[in-house]
Formats: sequence, C-alpha cells, structure tokens
Amino acid sequence: MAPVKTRLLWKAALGACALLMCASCSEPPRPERGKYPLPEGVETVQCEVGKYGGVFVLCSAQEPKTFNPLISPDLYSSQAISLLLSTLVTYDPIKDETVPALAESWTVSPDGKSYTFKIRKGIKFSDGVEITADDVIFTFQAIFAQQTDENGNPILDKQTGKPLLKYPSRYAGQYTISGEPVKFEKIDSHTVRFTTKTVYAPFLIDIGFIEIMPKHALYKDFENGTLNEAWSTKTAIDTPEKIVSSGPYMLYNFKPGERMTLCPNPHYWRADKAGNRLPYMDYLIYKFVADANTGTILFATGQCDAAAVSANDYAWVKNYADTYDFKIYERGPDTSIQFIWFNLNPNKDEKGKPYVDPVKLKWFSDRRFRQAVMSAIDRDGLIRGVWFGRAQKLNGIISPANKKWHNPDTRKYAYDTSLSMKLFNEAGFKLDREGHLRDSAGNRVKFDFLVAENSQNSTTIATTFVDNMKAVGIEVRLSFLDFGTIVSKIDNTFDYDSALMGFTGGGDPSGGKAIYRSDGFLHVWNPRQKSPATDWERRVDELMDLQETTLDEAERKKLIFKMQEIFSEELPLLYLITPMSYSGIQSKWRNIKVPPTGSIIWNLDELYDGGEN
Amino acid sequence: MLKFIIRRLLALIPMLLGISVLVFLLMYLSPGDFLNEARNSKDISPEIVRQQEIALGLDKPWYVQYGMWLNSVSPIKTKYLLPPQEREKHWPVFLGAPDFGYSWSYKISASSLIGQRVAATLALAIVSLLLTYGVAIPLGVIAAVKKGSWFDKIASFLSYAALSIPYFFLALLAVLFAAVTGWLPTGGQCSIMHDFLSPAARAADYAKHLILPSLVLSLGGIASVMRVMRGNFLDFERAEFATTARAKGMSENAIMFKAVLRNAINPIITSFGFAFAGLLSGALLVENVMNYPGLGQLIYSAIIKQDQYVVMAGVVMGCVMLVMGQLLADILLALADPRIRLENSRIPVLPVSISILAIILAAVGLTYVSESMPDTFSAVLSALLIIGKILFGALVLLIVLALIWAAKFFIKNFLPQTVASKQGLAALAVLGLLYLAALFAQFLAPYPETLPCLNKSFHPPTLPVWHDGKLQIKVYENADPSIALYKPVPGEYIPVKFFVKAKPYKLWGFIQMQTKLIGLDTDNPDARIYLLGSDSTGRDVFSRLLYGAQVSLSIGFIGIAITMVMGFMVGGLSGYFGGAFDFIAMRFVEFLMAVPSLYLLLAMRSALAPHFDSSEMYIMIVIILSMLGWAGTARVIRGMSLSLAKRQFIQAAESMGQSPLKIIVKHFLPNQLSYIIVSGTLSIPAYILGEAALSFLGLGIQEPSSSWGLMLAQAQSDTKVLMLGFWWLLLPGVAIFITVLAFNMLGDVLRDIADPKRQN
Repeated sequence: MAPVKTRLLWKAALGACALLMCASCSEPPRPERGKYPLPEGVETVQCEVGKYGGVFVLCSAQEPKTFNPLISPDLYSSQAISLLLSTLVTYDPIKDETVPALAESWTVSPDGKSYTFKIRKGIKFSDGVEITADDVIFTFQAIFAQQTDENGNPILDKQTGKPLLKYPSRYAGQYTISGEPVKFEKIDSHTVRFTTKTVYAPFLIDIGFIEIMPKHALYKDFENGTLNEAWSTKTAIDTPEKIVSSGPYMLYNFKPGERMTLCPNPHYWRADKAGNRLPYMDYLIYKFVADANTGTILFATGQCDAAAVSANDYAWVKNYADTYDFKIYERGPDTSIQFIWFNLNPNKDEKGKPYVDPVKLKWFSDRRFRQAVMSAIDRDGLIRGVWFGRAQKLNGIISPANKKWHNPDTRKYAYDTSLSMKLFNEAGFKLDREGHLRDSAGNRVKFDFLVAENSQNSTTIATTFVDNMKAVGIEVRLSFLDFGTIVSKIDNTFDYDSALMGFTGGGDPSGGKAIYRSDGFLHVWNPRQKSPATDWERRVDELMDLQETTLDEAERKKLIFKMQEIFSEELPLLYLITPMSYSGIQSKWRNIKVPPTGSIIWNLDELYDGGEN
Repeated sequence: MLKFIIRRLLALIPMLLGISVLVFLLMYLSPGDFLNEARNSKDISPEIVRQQEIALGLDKPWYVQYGMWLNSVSPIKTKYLLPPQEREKHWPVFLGAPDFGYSWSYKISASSLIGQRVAATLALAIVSLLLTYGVAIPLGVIAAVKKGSWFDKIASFLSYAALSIPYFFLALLAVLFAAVTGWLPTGGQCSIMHDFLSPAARAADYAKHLILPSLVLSLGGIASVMRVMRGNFLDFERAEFATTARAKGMSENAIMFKAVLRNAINPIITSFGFAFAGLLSGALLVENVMNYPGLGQLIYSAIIKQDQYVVMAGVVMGCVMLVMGQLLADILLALADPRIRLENSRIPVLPVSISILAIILAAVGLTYVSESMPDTFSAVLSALLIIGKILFGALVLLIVLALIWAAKFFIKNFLPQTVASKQGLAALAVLGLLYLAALFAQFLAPYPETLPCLNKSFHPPTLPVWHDGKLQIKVYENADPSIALYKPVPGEYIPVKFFVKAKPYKLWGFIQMQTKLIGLDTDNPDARIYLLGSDSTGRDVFSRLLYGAQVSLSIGFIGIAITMVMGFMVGGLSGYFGGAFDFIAMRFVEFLMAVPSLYLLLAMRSALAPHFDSSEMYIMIVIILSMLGWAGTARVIRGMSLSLAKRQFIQAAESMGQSPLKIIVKHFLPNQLSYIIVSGTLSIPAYILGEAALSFLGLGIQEPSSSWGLMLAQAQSDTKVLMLGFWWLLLPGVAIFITVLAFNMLGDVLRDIADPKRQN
C-alpha cells in the first residue's frame, strides 16, 4: 500500500508543479484589426509607421473610482477616462499648444468671446454610433442641468442663493466665466459654438478638459436623474462593454484591487501614414499596486513597461537598466511646489478670540521675519544630503518645470544665517544670553508647526527645519497630524501657527487662481478674504484679473512674471525645493517622444513594440 | 446545542448595535470627513463641496445619520427616518431589504464592494489557518513528546526566530525575495495575463499567488500555536489522569494521543475562532505590503478616506465573522471536552439592550451638550483630560509597585534557577544590558537623537581602530554624493576620547551632567563618530537606537502589566462564576475584540492628537494597545478556568467555604501560572512588535522622538536604503529581533521553573 500512495503523492505534486509552471506561459488572443474602414475625418498621424502587437503594462498605486467623466474625478480616474473618451481639443506637450482631437478645427470670433468647433466627419464611438454635435451639447447640458421642484422651478441653495445643480461637478465651476455659465449651441450636426460673457484667455485649454459623453448611451440616465451613478466601477466590473469609448482604447475588463485591461477601440479616429488604425499595442494593462515603492520595484525588475522614477529612487533604479533593458530619461524639476507658511489670518472666531495669538501674528505679518526664517533654512543641505543632489531650490510660486510661465528672475534666498540674523535684528528681534531669539517686547520666539504624517520627505524637511530654527534661537514644536485634520485647521478652524504642504502644479497659471487670489479658498495663509488684507495682495488680484482678459500671450506672461516677483518678495509662502523627475521605459517601445514636462507616455496610441534591437 | 446557537446569534444583535454606534461616533469625532480631498483641490469650488455635503447627508448631526443608516440596514424600517421625498410611499413601520448604503468613493453599494473582496480574503484566511494549525499542532506534539531532543531544540529555536521578526518586515523580505529570484509572484491575487488563461491554469495561478502571503501570515501563528501546544502537552502529560492511565497499563501512545492530546488541545481550539476573525484585520499589513486585494486593504483605505458606509459594512462583516468564529470555537470545545457544558448561561437580553440604549442616549446627549455649550464642554473635556493624565500617573505608580513586587518575587523564586540554566542566564544578561543601555541612553549616546548633519547622510558605521598608540576613527569623505558612497581618507584619523565633555544635559530630567561616555577629541564641529552609521539627515543611528530603546523597551512592560492583571481577573472570575457575569464579561470581551482596533487607534489619535504632545502619544498607544490586548488573555484564561472549576480540588475548597477571591488567587493562579508566564513572555514581544507595526502605518511614535519601530519604518519606506545597501538602517530590526528572542527564551526557562509539577 505505502509505495503506491507515495507514488500517487509524487504524481500529484508533479502535476501541481506543472500547472504552476504553465500558469504564466500562454499568449493572449490577438485583437481583430482592420474590420472597419477609416472615417472621412480621420487624423493621419505623422509618426514612424509601426507594427501591431505587444502588451504594455503600467503600475498604478491608485485605482479609478469611476468611469463617469462628470463626477469630480481624482487624478487616477481622469487618467483612465482620458484613454477611453476623447475631448474636443487636446494639449500636445511637444508642440506645447492645443491641437485638434474630436474637433477637426476651430475658429475664434474677432471679439475673442466665441469659439466655433467643427467635429470630424464620420467618426464613431466604439459601438459604431456616430459622434456628432448632439453629444457635445448633451455633455454641457448635463454639466449645467439644475435641480427643479415639482413645478419645474430651480431649487436654490439656502446658503448661497444659487440654483442647485442636478449633477454637481468641477466642470460647472470651470465653465462659469465671470459669474455666468458658458453658452453652448448646435450650429449643425457637426458644428458647435461656445460663447463666454467676457474674454477669457485660457478658454481653449479649459475646453479640452471635459471628455465628450455619448448621448445615446447615457441619455436615459440623464432623464432619470441617475447620471451620477452611471458608468461606475460596478458597470466596469459586470459589463465593461457598456462603457462606450471614443478614445484609443476600450475597457476589456476591470478587476478592483488587481488590474484593468484595455484593448484597442476598432473605431478610433487616428491612423498612421500607411493607413493602419492606431493604437499599435494589443493590450494596455494597468496593474494596481499598494504603493509607489512597489511600482518602482516592479519597473526596475522588468515587470512593467514604464514608470515615473522619483529622484529618491533614481540612484538605485539606474543600476538595473542594462539587466532589464530599459532607459531612464532625466526630466528636469517637478511641477509641484512645496512650502512652509505662517498663519496670517487676522480675524477672530465667533467668541471674539483671535485665531492667531496677536504676539505671534505680529511676528508672522512682518515680511522681514518671514525673509529671515527663509534665509535660515538649509535647503542646499537638504538637496545634497537627502536628495543626493537631485533637486533644485524653489524660488517662486511657479515651479521652474513650468517653463512657459516660470519667472527665473525673482528674488532668491540663499542659506545665510548671518543675513537671517541681520533681518531679525532689523525687525526688532534679538538673541538673549542663552541664545534664544526674543522680540522687542521680550517674548521668546516659538511656534507650532503642522506636518502631515506618513510622508518620509515631509518628515525629513520638518526635522531639518526644526534644527535650522534652533540654530537662530527659535523653538519649533512639531505636530504630526493626518491630512484631514490639517485641512480642517487651515480651512475651517484656523487654529495653527505654521504648516508644511505642497500643491501640484503645471499648466496655465489661471488654474492656480484659488491660491494666488486673496478671495481664493487655497490662499492658505489667509483664505477667502472679503477685500485684500494687504496692498501686495490687492496688486496680485489685479494682475490675475488682468491676465485672464488678455489674449496676447506675451502680455499675459509679463503679468504673471510680475505676480511671481511679488510672491517671492513678500514670501507668504517659504518655498522649499523641487526634486528632479525621471521617467523610465522599456527599450523595446518605439515612437517615444519625450516632452519637456508631463508624462513620457502621453502618446500611448503611437507606441509600438520594436522588439530587440 | 441548537438552543445555544440561537441564543448566541440573538446576542449578536445588541453587540452589533453597540459596535456600530461606537464606530459611528468615532468617525464623527475624528476631524474632517470624506470631502477633505475635494475641499483642498484647487479646481473644485466650495459651492460644489457644499452641495455634495448635503447630498451625502454630512450636514446632519451624527445621531441622525446613524439613525438613517440603522433604518436602512434593519429589515424592519420606519418611514420617519427616510429622506423626505420617499416618506409618502410607506407605512409608518414597514419591512424592507437591508441596505448597507453605498461607497462614496467608488459610487457602488458597500455590500457589493465588500463582496468583491471577501472571496480573496477568505481564501487567504482559510489557507493560512489550515497551514498554521496543520503544521503547528503536530510540531508542538512532537516537540513535547521528544522534549529535549535535537528536534525540540531546533523547533523551539526556529519558533523563537519566527516570532521575533516583525510581520511587515517579513512581508517586505518576501516581496524582495520574489523580486530577486523570480520564482514566485511579487504580489497581487493573480498574474497580469490571468484573463487569457484556461480555467485549470487560472486555479493554479491563484494558488501560486497565495503561497507567499499565506506563509508570511501563518509563520508567526505557527510559532506561537506550536509553543502553546508544546506547553500544554507537557502539562497534561504529567496530569493525574495520565498517571492513572499509565498505572492501568494503557499504552503510552494511547495515553498521549487519546487522553493528553484531547486535553492539551483545548486552549488551542478556543484560539481558533479568534484566529479566524483576527485574520480579517491581521491580514491588513500583509495585504498592504504584498498588494493582495483583500478586505483589509479595502477597509483600511475606506477608513483613511472616511468612506463611512464602507467602514460600517466592513465592521459589521468583521463582527459577524468573529461571532461565527467564536461559536465554532465553543462548539468544538464542547465536542473535544465532554466536561464542558454549553447550556449553563442565560441571556439577560433586557439588561443588555437597556445598557446599549443608555450608551446611545448618553452619546447623543453628550453631542447635544457639546454643540449647544461648546465652551463648557471643552472646559470639561480638558479637565477630564487632566484627570485622565493624573489617573494615568497613578496607574503608572501602581504598575511600578506591581513590577517591584514581581521583581522581588522573581529574585526570590526564579532568579537562582534561571541563572543556573545557560539559556536563562544568556537571556537575562542580554535583557539586562538592553535595559541598562536604555536607562543611561543620555550618557551613552554621543549625540542628541535629533541632531542632523546634512553633509554626512547615510554615513557608514565607523568602529574605532588602534592607530598611533591610541584609539582613533578613520575619516571618511563622500566620494560620490549621487549615491552616498563614502571612502576613507588615507592617513586621516581623529582620536576617540572617553568621558568627553559635551553640552550640558539633564539625566532623567533632574541630574545635571556634562559628560558623555564617548566622543571625539577634535575642535571640528562637523566631525562625528558614527558607531552604527547615520540616517538620511546624518543623525547618529547608535544614539537614536539608544533613545529609541527607551520607548520600545518600556512599552512592552507597561502594556503587559495592564493586560495580564485585567485578563486574569476578568477571565478567572467569569470562568469561575459562569452565568450572567460570565455572559456579560465575555460579551464585553468580544465587543472589545470586535472593534477594529486599528480604526479605534486611528480615530482616537486624530480626535485626541491636538491635546497630546508627540511624546505623550506614547502613553495613548500603550493604553489603547493594552486595553485591546487584555481581552484575548481573559478569553483563554476563562477557557482554562471553565475546566478547572470542575476539578475536585476546587470543589473541595468551595465546600470548605473559601471565598471566591481566595480560590482564584490560591488555586486558580498557581494552576494558570504556566499559561500566564508563557503568554506574558509572548505578549511583551507582541507589544514591541505592535509598536513597530503601528509606526509602520504612521500611527505610532512620531518625530522628533525615536523608537525602533519608527526607525525601521523610515528605513523601509525609503526603497534606496535596501537597494543601495545601507544595511545599518535595518539595525533597529535586529534590535527588535534580539530583544524579542531574549524575552521568548527567558519565558521558556521561567515556564519550566514555574511549573510546580515539574518538581517531582
């Protein structure tokens, strides 16, 4: 008996091993190509003609939360949606200008207020239904649809008195210009026109933000009032084919927590010079990973095709480039900005207690105090020690990565403790015998400092800042809080002294209005001011208003440059550093065009698998 | 039996009520809400945020939100808690399908979201559980039967080692192993090409992805179950019934496997139910590091995002799983030990329901008061906080006294024998050294824990060498700053000086001192002696390790003192008395164990953080950890007491009229000492590892303080530390490993000494 049993066991074990081995060795089915003729309005792409095939794998630390473009999406959802649905126009990072997408061309009226778009002829959604002006009109109807009572009258918000939107989204605000929603009208089946109340310079860029939604697929939900629930992750899981696409890809399947597979849209509107419809790759797979570190490890070990490599990781990832045959491109500084600021809110809470201790507010409001603190931060040391030299000092409110709008000639602050002391002395601060800094009234300078927990970089900066401040006699008390608490403190209760935070950047400076303008809600040091608290804030407001209504780009640039000079002189934010960014991609992919900023794989549909050299 | 099951299921209702209120309340107490992210993004206007607030019902007080949630979950509903537009359609009271609400971030129903992940987590939990018990029980039995053999020694050493490695660290090593060898997948539930495989290959693909996570998840369990199994088996091997059986001429095999095994397995069976439920939350860290798409990962991110209804659905799900696990444990226990009866408790449904109702009303009242009179309330709150801090001080004093008493007891009864055994002596010496080092950290550490040196980041360790007739260290220069490559400068040395003069400091806060044990004899302020290297901002790892030891080493001691005292009292009493006391105590224990401890921590932390300093965070963590920890001990002690209570000598003591307290202290305690000591020594490491795990999630000790867990978390979050080989930053892990190993070894020696039956 025993030998037979053993033999059986062996067989079973061998069988199991064989199964495990072959679990990773079958080829995916090739998608069918060339089934539908190219449409009349097809865009012929001037890239090198490639060949079909290949699977492109990307890692993402986050998953799309919805496939519905209308719901205020996070970055990861919008990224996924942008592969599935096209916009009227899009931004070409190589040419650095707005280029046609679903709209073949456009004209601007002489007064600069109205824009007419011509939609490509004969282009179709992935289910074969034609894309027309009705879809564009439907999209904007959905954005501005209002809630109504039984009599059809709009319901107003009790607090603000404005009508409540049926489908609240970020776009309603975006396309409300000078307090009025943009007007949209259908001219003919392939022409739409938008009219703004006043001249609005970034309109052409902004119109490229909203993906055009298929009316035939979503009109029913719109009528029923369930548009916000349509095209959820549940749709993607159960019936991916119901998510109709107009972009390069269609949803093949969606497995939450695991991956999302996309396959080519057979009706896509772009083709190469040889008449092959794009995209070249057979499948595009997003693998969802727990954190960015895992993604970086997977890329470095050849298990995914492209990745953004942080300055921190570049030092080791490059060692694997030959083994796993990938290239890393140095992309220059990052577009995000990181800063420390002091609470400058002069107001009092309901009980009449000032938000900021008046003694501290007096220090913080003094420009020389802020400049002195700035001069005492050892940013060079941070760059050298922590980032191994792969970072730059940030000198203004717009990162140098935003080459078009960044002003390189703003005031700069070097690490200089003697200059810092000089500034402190000018502002009436003195060191006492024990080396503690005191103000003219003899109060010891100390303040609390909020930092979001769970970020290694913030922690390093914060501990260095504390030590730097100690060197000039200031005591800083670190307080680590979760992001939610910090947001509620800076946005609601205003009970803090100083904090460390960052904003993502890039794009047109109008996108940063909420930060720059004194009535902006992200004007963190003193948000939502009724009227500008200081002269320089008033000046910034004026500059911002002016640049929005100026169509001449050179003129706009001057205004934005002036604004940056003010921000670097007044220092409401103490700018820190911006790390270098790197992009890695497997060498087998061809047609790679590295833009000055932004993602290296912005032209995924043009990439093709060129195999080994 | 059926009646018992039905009763248990009925008892689930008040428990779920209590837990859901607690979780809802905590969610309300933690600042901010789901719309935090929207509030802080530059392209979403405040009006939209406001509209969403109304749409999600976040503008209503928490008890109204809770009421509406309860109404939609319960099968019996009332129309008054429905949104106004739906009220017309229904009777005042009507029946309807339970609805768990929907996920705000995924925009799909919470139950279907959880359903998507449940299969993955169940698969992982069941495989790990089978692995744990399937491996641990036979190993434990063999180790006990062959006590003292090479097998026993190797097995016990390996189990020490397995218990001493931090969980998440092991998971990380597993991921690295998979990445480097390529033999097994680095993470996920299936491979990228999964959709294109045949059904058989798909099954194999799933299996392949389960190997590493289930191994990591069960390794610690195997070690601890094995140790407990071995301990129990040895206990019962010498029990009276075994001797009787031997005298009757029963074969040794029959005694071992029929009589002894059945008895020894009792506590293990009790732990089975918990292990099952615990895997739900225990898998979180592993799921996170190994990228396994399970329930834990989902709920954790829902907690972070404050996606309220997903959290609630997850909590309810977790509670149900826990109760099912316990029910299973109780039934198994009854089957394994015929002496235990199940039917001896009656459910005081009314008192339980009334107390739950009272809790809800009190919470609502408190909210109301806090909102109508915020000043008075915050004054009261801060007064309470001060009282709490004073009480904590008193508790610390009590614990110190208890520890002194325990130390005296230890020196008198244990020390001679411990020192006599090689293992005991080694463990004691190591622990003694560690604790002394922590105590004199300020004197021993060359630098303050927070002193950076930005041109010397990631400096390698420099041990003093004998040069030119004196002890000196080599001077290094940063040869390639882009990868922090340091090379010694030939011929340059700096002499090392002992008892060097430094900046004045206060030892233990009151002894004025100016001398440090070791330093450099130089005027250069930037010269450093890095005995164990430096970290990302050039802080001395050796100094940080010493300061960190103060936190890491004390957390276990204080935690264990609270845990053991409470666990023994509650478990002993409820096992002895049974009945209503047992029922209420055990429901309370279950309640505590069912509250997702992680969320409790997170919520309490963000609710209390503004009132606590970074250094006081330590106090909060100890309290929460031990408050949640005692419940498990109580449960096991109860299981043992339950069968002890039926033993003749207890009944004899009872008939002699001894008081319950005396019986518990005189008769239960000595009989349970072996368990208390084994589990106590097992628990101190659990606290040390717990602190490390919390720091890993960013909930533990915060900068500028240091702890081993925090240091390790910082090293692990920075991938270049591993990839560029800055190995000295993993030394806190080694420190944890050594400490935990020493505690485990000591525990085993103590166990052998404490066991009174061993004497004959």
